[in-house]
Parts: sequence; structure tokens; C-alpha cells
Amino acid sequence: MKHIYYADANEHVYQFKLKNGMRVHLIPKDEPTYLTYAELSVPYGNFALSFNTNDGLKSLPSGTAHFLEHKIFAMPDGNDAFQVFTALGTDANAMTGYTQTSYLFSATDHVEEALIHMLHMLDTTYFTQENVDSERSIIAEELKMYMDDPQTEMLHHLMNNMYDQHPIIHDIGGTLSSIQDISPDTLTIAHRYFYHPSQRLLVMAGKIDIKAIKRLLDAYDQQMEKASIHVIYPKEPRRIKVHHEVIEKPINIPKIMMGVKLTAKKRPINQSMRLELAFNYLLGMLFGTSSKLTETLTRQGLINQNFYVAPIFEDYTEHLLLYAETKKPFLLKKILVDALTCGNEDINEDNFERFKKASLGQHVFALNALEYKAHLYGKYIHQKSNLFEAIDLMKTLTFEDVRDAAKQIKKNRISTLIYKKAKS
Amino acid sequence: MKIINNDFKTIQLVSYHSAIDNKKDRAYRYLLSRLIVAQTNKYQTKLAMSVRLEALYGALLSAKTELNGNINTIGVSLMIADPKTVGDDQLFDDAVAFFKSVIYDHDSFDQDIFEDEKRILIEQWETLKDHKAAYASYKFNEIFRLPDLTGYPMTGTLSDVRKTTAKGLYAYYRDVFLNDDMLVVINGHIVDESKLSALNHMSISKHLLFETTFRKPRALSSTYEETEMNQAIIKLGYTFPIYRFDDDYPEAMLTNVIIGGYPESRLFKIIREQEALCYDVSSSYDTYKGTLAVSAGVAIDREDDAKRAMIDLINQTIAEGITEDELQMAKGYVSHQLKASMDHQSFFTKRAYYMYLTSFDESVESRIRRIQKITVEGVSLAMKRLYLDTVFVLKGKQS
Repeated sequence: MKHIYYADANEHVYQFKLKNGMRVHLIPKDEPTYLTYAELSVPYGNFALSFNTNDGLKSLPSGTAHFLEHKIFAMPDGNDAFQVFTALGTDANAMTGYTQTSYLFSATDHVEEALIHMLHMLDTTYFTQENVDSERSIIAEELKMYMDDPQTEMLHHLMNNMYDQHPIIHDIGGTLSSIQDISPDTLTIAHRYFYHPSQRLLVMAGKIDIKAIKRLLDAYDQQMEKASIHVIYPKEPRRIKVHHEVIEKPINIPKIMMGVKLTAKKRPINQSMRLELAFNYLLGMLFGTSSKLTETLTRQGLINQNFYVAPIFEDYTEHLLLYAETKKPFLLKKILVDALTCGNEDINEDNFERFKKASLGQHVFALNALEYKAHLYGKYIHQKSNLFEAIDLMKTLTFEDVRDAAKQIKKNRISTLIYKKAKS
Repeated sequence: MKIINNDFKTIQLVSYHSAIDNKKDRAYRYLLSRLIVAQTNKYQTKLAMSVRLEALYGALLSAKTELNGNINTIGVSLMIADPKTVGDDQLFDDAVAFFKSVIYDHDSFDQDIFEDEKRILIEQWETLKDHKAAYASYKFNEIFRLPDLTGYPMTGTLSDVRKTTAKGLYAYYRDVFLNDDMLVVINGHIVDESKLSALNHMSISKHLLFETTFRKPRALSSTYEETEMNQAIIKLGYTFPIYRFDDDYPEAMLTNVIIGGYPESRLFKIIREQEALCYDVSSSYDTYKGTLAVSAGVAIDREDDAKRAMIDLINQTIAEGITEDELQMAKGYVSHQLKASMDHQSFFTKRAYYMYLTSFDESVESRIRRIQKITVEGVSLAMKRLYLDTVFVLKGKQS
């Protein structure tokens, strides 16, 4: 077992690997701590629609990863695994993203039993036509719920305007149509290739008896037939598919969503993180609460509290996202495009240094919440990086990094989607 | 002032400003929560405030209004990183001084900032119908709760908001807010409590009378509204006259958990998992108002079946009671939630305020002990006090 102490974050991590390849990272917290938080994740999300295996090329419908996350709770005795978690007095949940599926529980007691149960759940599949059909109805309602949220609907539309081939054009949960193609066989294939123990990462945080967990996991040696997998990402053109689209909708205030397509390249992970951080600073300096531009836009009544900006860095896709509700979407579009492409007085060294200081403090806030810390830690590990080393990265980021990032923004790679109030 | 010393990585400085709730003050109190953190005499713009917060290592300053029983509370909160973690000993002193200035240093409210906040709030109202789930909650709340004040918007109505002026708001701040009942809570790793002396005399005790009441049950009313959407949102409103300080409160809390409060609840297991009628279904219990609200998002063409199934299921639960297994699971779930809350820093801050406000002090351990003693009969009896008097459905138009 390897022990690492991260002095800047004041965190201890204990790492080991099981014989079957499963990785375990334990982040104990000193007493008084009541809660143990465990998150077991696999690097499988909705981006893995096509993949090469030693058995040849496989393609699965959009929404399979999310469907599998729902159905993995079904157990052969007809019950669902939630019931056991609840009977143990623990709180379980699961979530699927573009590149990762996570299963988690929090416990104040019966930690070891809950952990064994979680592993058993992931090792045991029970997919029948009947239970898959039933889940299809439930997931259809989940998708419709998101379809009733204008921001989610706009995001999906914008991704399809920006991207041609990349799987980001598909919603994580799939569509009402794509989930019709998911069968018990589909789920079995996804489980066989992506849920092998060697793909799994267990992160535990909080109250942890390290020796007991190590002993327990050493005794767990579930073997599954290992398969090599390589997710295929179709070649994505650099250009934007649709630069500008206006749609009439039965809404009360127009909405604008804007995406800036960047050049996603394979690069060392620390360089990717550095670039993402540089864009984060750039957007914060341009559009954060301490920017003069934001103050002006607010004063002119062009943005409200729903205005947000974010850099999105996922596998083979990098873009910036901006969203606002505004009565003057066309004027706002012009101002935002100018700010992104023509430079701005808010981008200066003083602002950068202040923003850097603030970012350091906010990183500390993130580490304060156990669940968030464990989830973020796991996400970084899947990306072959480390959450606790991010502080070093923040300290070494320079104003030049931010300026270089800004140069990557090109006017012809911006896509804008406007929802305009329909004439009644 | 209440000081809670511990080893969390952040320090929270919070002031709770409490007053007896009334309709006419709602818009003022809401806008005040926005204005008070937007400027001070020294930092006269939102930008200047943001710059100051960034210099305090990205400190988070916020204020919000909330309703606790008959009390309207404005909570002003400043959260900073533990100075030890960022290696800056001056941070704590600076944060204390800044926090105090946020409460007191206002000779007026800037007209432009006021107009910005008012416009943003008006737009919030104007876009409400664009957000289906939020709109359904708002409409249900109004239909189910009025004439109780919980049915009145926390922001005041659109008309209330339009009537407010910067001068009127400042007068409210000076004459009412500064004389509100006030408690300051400091929570985090405090090395030297003497550094808090600047906050010593801020608290004001008015001994507000905390009340838990709700309107009387009435004949069942059903309201249906159609809009452009893909689902139907069903809301059921039950009066449930058991309150936070009643002896049978733990039974009422477990009733909510068993009906729709967690993934092993009856609504979740039967309406979602067995009948596959929905993805999202849950119930929530307002312990200060004695109400239980049920919500589900269902397929438009199955709305009627789903609504009937939900009501039948709850009626059946009330009539037949619950099982020992159900009770044990619910007890385990609630006990876990209570213990887990002690790992969340904000829990202690809020708890200090609620203890102060209600003069009711019960430790987590004692609450768990009380829950463990609850019987099937006790919960079954409490359930019989549920009374459905409101149904609201917001649904998409069927083509």
C-alpha cells in the first residue's frame, strides 16, 4: 500500500491495487468524522458509442451507459440492490456522464457490508426483457423531464450545431428513439467490456478503518474475462456546422446560448488541465462578477442572474459555453463575440493575480465537502491526474498561459443559438 | 453571538435577521437581501465588492430570505478559507471587518444597483413560465397554501416588486432591518476568539414568538392547467397537522419517508419501479406548517392513471398501515441522515440558529433515540391525520 501526503491540501491518500486490477484510493479524515463516502466508478459514459475490442468492432445505442447504470441495481432475486443499501442504513446513488459512470454510497455504519454489496451488485447482472422494457418507460419520463428544461434543450441543439461527428451531439441519457434499441443483450455487452474490475476505481473518503478495508478488499477477488477496449472517436472537423440559428419558442424572455469550438488535441494530461484552468481564468476575468464588462451588461439590462460561462473539456472535445436570458439577444451576441475575440481591458495582470488568489481559496472550499472531494478526486484519477496536485498547477499558471488561451478563440468557430419569443 | 469551534477547512460568519413574517414586507426583505451584499460605503459597486471578495481568497458572500414557521429570516453569510490553509494570518481579521461593514456600512442604496436588482427580479417573474417545474411548484404552492402566508411568494408578487423604490428600501433597512432580532454565528477553526470582539455587540434579542400553524383542511379542489410541455406534473397537497415540537413529530417524519421520502418509499417502489409510471416521484413534509406535498412527473397520456394510482396508494397506506420491515428501513435511513449531517459544517450553523429561534434544543443522539422507539402502530396512527385537499396538474397539450 502506498501512502502519499499532499502538504498543500493537507490530505493523506492510501493507494493499492487488487489482484484483479481494481484500483483503490482511500482519503481518511481525522475524527470527529461520522460519514464514510465511497464512490466506485468506471470510465464508461455516453461517448463510448463505438469501440474496438479483441472480438471486433462494437456499436451501442446512445443512452446505453445510462440505461446500464439504472439496470445494474436489478438483482436475480427480483429485488433491487437499493433495498439492501437501505436495509444497511446507507444512502446509495449513481450517475452517468460523458466518460464515466459512478456508483456511490454514504454510510455512518455497516460500511464494509455496503462495500461488499456494491461490488456484488456490479459483478451481478440480471437483465430480462421485462425489466428492461419497464425501465425504458421510466427513462423515457426522465428524458422528457429534461426536454421540458429550455437550457437542456438548447444545449443539445447547440452541440448539434457545433459538432458534426463527436458523440457529444448525443444526450447522455440518449433519445426517446435510441433507447428503443436497447435490449438485455446490449446491456450485457456494455457490462462485459466496461465493468471489468481492472476498469474500476474505488475512492473512499471520511471515516475509514484503512486496515479493515484493505483486508476486506484483499479477500475480494472477483475475476471476469478481461477484454481490451478502445473507444473510437470519429474525426471531428474543425469547422462549425451552423454558425447562427434563431428558433421561435413559446417563451417569455429570449435566450441565447453560444459555443466556442476549440481545437481538441491529444496532449499530456497536465497540459490539458493547464489549458482548461487558463480558459477558466480567462472566462472569469472576462465575464465574472468582478469584470467591468459584466457590470456594464448588467447596467444595460442585457443579462440577469441566469448568465453563465464555462469551459467544457472532455475527451476529444473542448469548447467554451455561454448562456444568457436577455430581451436583446442580437445586441448581446455582438458584445460577447467582440469580448471573446477582440481582447478586453479586464484581461490584465492585476486581475489575473487577484483571480488566482480567489481560485486558490475556492479550491479549499471544494475540499471541505466530503462527497465533492471524493467525486472530484476520482474524476481526476480517471483523467490520469490528481486533484490535490491541482493547487501546484494553480500556483504556476501564468498570465501568459491565459493570453495564449485567448488566442485560440476564433470568430469563425463560434456558434450561436437564439430562442426567440414566438408571435402568438 | 454563538461560536462553534471545529476543524473544517472554511470559516462561516453568518448573521440571522429575524422578524414576524407579513406580506407587505416580503418584497423589501427579498430585495434587501440582494442590495446588502451588492455594495457598502467603501465598496460602492458590485464590481468593487467582487474585487474585495477575490482579495479575500475568493470568499463567498451571500444573503437570502427564508421562512421558518411565522418568522421571516434574512441570513447574511461570509465564508472564507481557513487562514492556515492559504497561509495568510491577516485573512480572518480582514474578513471580520468586511462582514461587519456589509451589515452596517450603508448610508444609502445606489439607485442604479437598486434598479438592476429590481429588473432582475421582475425578469425572474417574467421567465417563470419558461421553467415548467418551477412554475408548477409556484402554482401548486399558491393554490394549496393560501391564505396561509407560505402560499405568498417569498419575493413578494410582481406588483409588490414594481412598487418598491430605492428610498423606501433604504428606509426599511434603517428603520426595520437594523432593529430586527439578530443572531451572529461563527463556525470554523477559530484560533483566537478575541479577534471576534468587533462582532460582540451585534446580536439583538427580541424574543419573537415562534408559531407553527396552518390553515384548516377544506373540501378537495382539483386544478388543471395546460401548457407546451412533454410531461404532466402532478402535485398533491395534504394537510398533516403534526408539527416539529409535537410528541408525535418523529412518527410524522417517518410517515413522509415511508410514503415518498426515499428510494424505498411506497411511491418510489410502486408508482415508479413497479408501475413504471414516472421517473421522478417524491413527498416532502413541512415540519413547521404541518403539510405533506407529493410531486411526480408522468407521461401526458397516463396522467389520469398515475394520479389515481398515487392517491389510491396513499389511501391504502393510511387505511392498512405499514409493516415492521418498512419501519425498520425508514428508521435506518433517517438515523443515517441525522448522523451524516454532523459532517456538514452548515448543519451546525443552521442548528445554532434554529435552537435560538425556537428555544428547542435536541441533540442528534437524542433524536435518533426517539426514532428508534417508534412503533408500527404509532406511524399508522400518525398517517391517519393526512388529509388530501388539493390536486394540481400542469400538463402538456395532447396532440
